[in-house]
Amino acid sequence: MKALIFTVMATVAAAQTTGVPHLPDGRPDLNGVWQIPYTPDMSKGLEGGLPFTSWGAADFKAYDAAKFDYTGHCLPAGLTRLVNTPMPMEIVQGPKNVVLLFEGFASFIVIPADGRDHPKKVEPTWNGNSVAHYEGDTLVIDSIGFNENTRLDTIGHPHSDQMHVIQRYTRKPDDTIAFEITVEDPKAYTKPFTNKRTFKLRRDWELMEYSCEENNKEVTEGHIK
Amino acid sequence: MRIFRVFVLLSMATAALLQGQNSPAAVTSPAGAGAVASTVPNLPPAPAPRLPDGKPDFSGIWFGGGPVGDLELGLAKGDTIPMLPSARKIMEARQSKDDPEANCLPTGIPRTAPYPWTFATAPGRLYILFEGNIHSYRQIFMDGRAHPADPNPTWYGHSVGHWEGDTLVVDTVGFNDRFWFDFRGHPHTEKLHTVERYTRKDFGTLVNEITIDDPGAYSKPFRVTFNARLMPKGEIMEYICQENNQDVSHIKGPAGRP
Repeated sequence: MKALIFTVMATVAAAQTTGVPHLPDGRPDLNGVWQIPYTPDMSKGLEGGLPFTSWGAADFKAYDAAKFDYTGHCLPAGLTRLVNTPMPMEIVQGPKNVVLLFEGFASFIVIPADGRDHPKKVEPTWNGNSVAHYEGDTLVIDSIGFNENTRLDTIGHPHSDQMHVIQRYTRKPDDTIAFEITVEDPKAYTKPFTNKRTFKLRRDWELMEYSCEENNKEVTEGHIK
Repeated sequence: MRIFRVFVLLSMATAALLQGQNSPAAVTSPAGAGAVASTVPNLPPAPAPRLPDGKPDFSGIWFGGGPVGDLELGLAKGDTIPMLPSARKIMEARQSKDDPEANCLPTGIPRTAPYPWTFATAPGRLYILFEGNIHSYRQIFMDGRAHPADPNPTWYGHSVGHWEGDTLVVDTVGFNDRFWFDFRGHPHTEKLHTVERYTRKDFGTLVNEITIDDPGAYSKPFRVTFNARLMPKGEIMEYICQENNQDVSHIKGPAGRP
């Protein structure tokens, strides 16, 4: 135990010499409004594209966003699509949780960061069940328990209810987060794949109100073809 | 996931339940509303907790704190709502099926949806996270800024907050005129200005005293008070209004208190 405490203290001390801003208790300071890059296609930059299983390939081939895109009906984007939006997100670090607020769809996710693991039985939801912990200057968010109503990205890469998503937010000294998202889904992909992005802190930005349902004529008047 | 296929029905049941919400004893378990009632227990009296810096601690999961069925229920004894004839005409013409909340639009202020909510504190900002109320959030600036001169009208308006002793004071302008204050359809205009005063009276009770000022709909400012109650074991769950929202086509009749 003493060794562990020492290691933790050493890690915190080491982390604090790097110029990365920290909260008083040593956690990396990830609070703020972040500009996140629009990622409509998560296969971009991955050599060989996404490692589809035959189920995944067939599902993707059959998908046509022009026929039906659930987000056009103001249904939740789902976790991966929220962090893919062109609109900013805000991170709020509570004492025992992390809140991710997205301007897109006015969505938010409250994630416990109190040492708990996923519940043994998880009911499938649009945004899944998430738990968070810190590894040095990195916030790690682990998510399972997704339903199959959402897509990974705008162009419609599929996932199944077996999806497991790991997000890593590493605070850098230069007002950026090195963001990594790993998707593991043995039903849709033969192996996990990872996207890497940079989030930029925007001290003078604030989230604006977003209402999908207000005057959503694209769908109600049948403009989506 | 809470998929409330009977969303409106449940809302109405809860609203009925909340009609006597300023007297906690009224929140028991009437038949038909047990699911919600059982999650909002009457807590034994205990003082409101404080943060290490001495400020009142508003953390936790809250339920209520604004009108659901009828704004009038928040009036002090003997008070009435000073409606202008034009506003009364609008209210009397409203049909329940057009209630924005039933159509998955935000409640605006001070209406609450009969679902839990919580505060999230960020540097310079305070958020209110709503489980229901289309699972959206509201932003309150706590950094001392003033309202913009000409705010873009929105559902939650432009909110600035500050502390007066143990009371959180939230001043909001810049509303659109689209939301209703309650099931009855009490209206407002873009001139609406609200001041909410939140005080944690005891461990289980957060009092919200709201001054409504809207010269476009009411002849003078008036005050309503609603209590939010703590759900000690509550959590904010996923809530999707838009999923399978089959009720709207079944809602009939003029807007009214359920």
